[in-house]
Amino acid sequence: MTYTDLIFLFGLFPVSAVLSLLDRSPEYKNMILIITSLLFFSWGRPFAVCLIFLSLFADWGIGLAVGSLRDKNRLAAIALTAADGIIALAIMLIFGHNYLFSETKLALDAVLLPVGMGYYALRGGSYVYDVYKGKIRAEKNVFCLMTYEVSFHLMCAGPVVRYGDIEGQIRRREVNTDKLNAGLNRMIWGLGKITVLSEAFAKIHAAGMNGNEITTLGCWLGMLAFFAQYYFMFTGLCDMSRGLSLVGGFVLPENYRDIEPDELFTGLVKSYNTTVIGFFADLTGTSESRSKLRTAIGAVICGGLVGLWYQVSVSALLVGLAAGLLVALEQLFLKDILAKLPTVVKYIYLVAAALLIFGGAEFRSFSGYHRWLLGLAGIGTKYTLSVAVKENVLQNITLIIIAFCVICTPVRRMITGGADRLSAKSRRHYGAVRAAKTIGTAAVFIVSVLTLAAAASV
Amino acid sequence: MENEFNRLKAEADKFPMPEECEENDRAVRFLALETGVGHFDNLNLLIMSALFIFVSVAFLAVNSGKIINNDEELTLNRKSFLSGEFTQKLEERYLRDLPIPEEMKTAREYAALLYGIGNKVTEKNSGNYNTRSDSQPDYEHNAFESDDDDNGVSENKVTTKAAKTDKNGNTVTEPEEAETAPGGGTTAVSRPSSTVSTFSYTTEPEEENTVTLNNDAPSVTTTTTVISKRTVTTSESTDYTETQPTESDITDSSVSDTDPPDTETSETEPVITEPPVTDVPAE
Repeated sequence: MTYTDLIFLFGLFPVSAVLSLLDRSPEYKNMILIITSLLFFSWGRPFAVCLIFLSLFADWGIGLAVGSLRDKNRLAAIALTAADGIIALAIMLIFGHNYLFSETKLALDAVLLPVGMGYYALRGGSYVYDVYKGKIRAEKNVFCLMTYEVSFHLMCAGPVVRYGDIEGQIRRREVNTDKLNAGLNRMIWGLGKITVLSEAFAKIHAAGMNGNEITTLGCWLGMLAFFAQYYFMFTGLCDMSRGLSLVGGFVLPENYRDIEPDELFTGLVKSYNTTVIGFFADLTGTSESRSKLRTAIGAVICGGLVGLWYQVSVSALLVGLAAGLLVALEQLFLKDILAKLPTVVKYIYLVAAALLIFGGAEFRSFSGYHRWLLGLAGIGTKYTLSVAVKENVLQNITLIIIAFCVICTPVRRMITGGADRLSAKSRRHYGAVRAAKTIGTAAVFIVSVLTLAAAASV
Repeated sequence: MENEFNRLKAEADKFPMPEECEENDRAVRFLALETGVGHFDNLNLLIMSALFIFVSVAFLAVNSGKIINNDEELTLNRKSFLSGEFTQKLEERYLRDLPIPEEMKTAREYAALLYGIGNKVTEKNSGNYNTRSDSQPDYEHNAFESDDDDNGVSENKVTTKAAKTDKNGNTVTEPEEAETAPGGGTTAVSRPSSTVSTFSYTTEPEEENTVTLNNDAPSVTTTTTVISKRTVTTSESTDYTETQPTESDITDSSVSDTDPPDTETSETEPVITEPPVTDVPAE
């Protein structure tokens, strides 16, 4: 089951939300959350439940052992933490990246593979690691840990929440109308991003990056659409995750933040899946280091690890290392040079760097990447624009403009700032702006449901 | 008492009291708006919750009217649950029972009119919905992988024709009679037996065309052929082969000349003969 399955949106989620509102006690809410999350996680894949329980109890037991040993026997604590890390890594590789074992006994039918194993493994691993580092105490109540690890709020997408950040909310939280309202709105806008915007860019991406009709503008538009497609998919999932959490009473940290040109490429990297990058930066010691050189080396290693976390492949590793290298260079000396440039130039630098580095994630071979690079300059392409790209762009031009307003921070701030100023004029204006927001949200909801239902109905 | 009051007033006058200031006004306005915030938040929550509950109940309670076979009945037992069969069938049944599926598809198409220019709404109740557009793009996404795969070029490999605009900015227009593949790419057709993917779509109410794409093709070969479904299924009928005149600056004539016409012969199927490779002309 995923967040965009109709049976989740209009079956499991409302049931879970309504049932958890029936009682105020966190124990009751946790119980409902665990049951519905196990159903969510194991939908069509009951095998996954066994996996969850095995790894969960392993994390719990190892966490307790590490907690008691870290002061008495440091070596044993390190060994246990490493063992838990290996378990988490094995789970992630076998179930999250099962394509690596396609011709072995570990190959599993895609239908059986549970969703979100990358995030699940990170949560389990980060818990024991934090216990070892002394950031949190080992959890004695297995149900609290279970709520943290299996909650469907955190299952499909980030943010990767550390146990220390959410422990208090697991033990005590309240659901009020403010949270319900904010949660539903965020969830609906996230759903719209996935079902409408991401799908529109998927079509342009497929048309533009079609190797059988490589055109100059197709190379540009196809790659930009590739970025937009995955940006809206991930941010949409994350918005849904945070929205669902708010409805359940949890407040999760931001995982995607605005891109600021002054922060250069380092800021761009950190703005995307912030919590995951934060975890790996913590793991490599980059976040605590005060030495520039050590930070730079850590950034390269961290980049490689994040690349591999996304996908275990050479291209993903190279993309991660390249991104880490540019971050490292910025930390060492580039930042001082680039900081003096005008904002427009900084934006151009960001777009160019993102295209050249992250564009590599689209290709499985260097020859494809090379052809695309040449195609950007019009070399090796016979035509400027293909019919397919042109039509897909025209057919989705309104959505492209909306997407641009969402992604481009200055434009979005101008729009939201204008709305705020208008609503501050008088109560009537305020009402008009709020009504427009409500109508917009309802429209997004209806269009998203229609899109999902039209695609799903047999 | 009066004296006391006057004394206090006189003492207070010694200190400069602030006038009604701008900040004060702003604070009053903020409080008023805060009260409004609560109202509008509640209204928003009410509307969204109502929408959610309405859709949830409608999807569960309203049946599409499709008949469920007895052999597809859900049976919950240990075996069916552990194998995932039960939940899978439950979901299938849920999706099959979604109410008014055709109307929802039509409504979705109407909504898509707002997405941009050139979106179309298919004829109501024709059953001819734009099934190609949503989850599966018209083109197999290969991100330029074909160059590695095309070393041994098969004679059956063809490609979609690329563009309407050349490098000089001249628009290369298609003639009206030219067939177009789903999604707008100019037609690329090959033998049905050698296909990678097939799209079927109806252009006329009673006529169905089959357009076949093989995306492993080298990027130099372009063939335009339209095969009517009727001619394929009837052995004695003749295939309708559409050959467009060639324009020298677009057509790769060397390829055309070197590629022999492909002919496939079958005892049961008609002979499908392809003309030399041509491109759709400009103008």
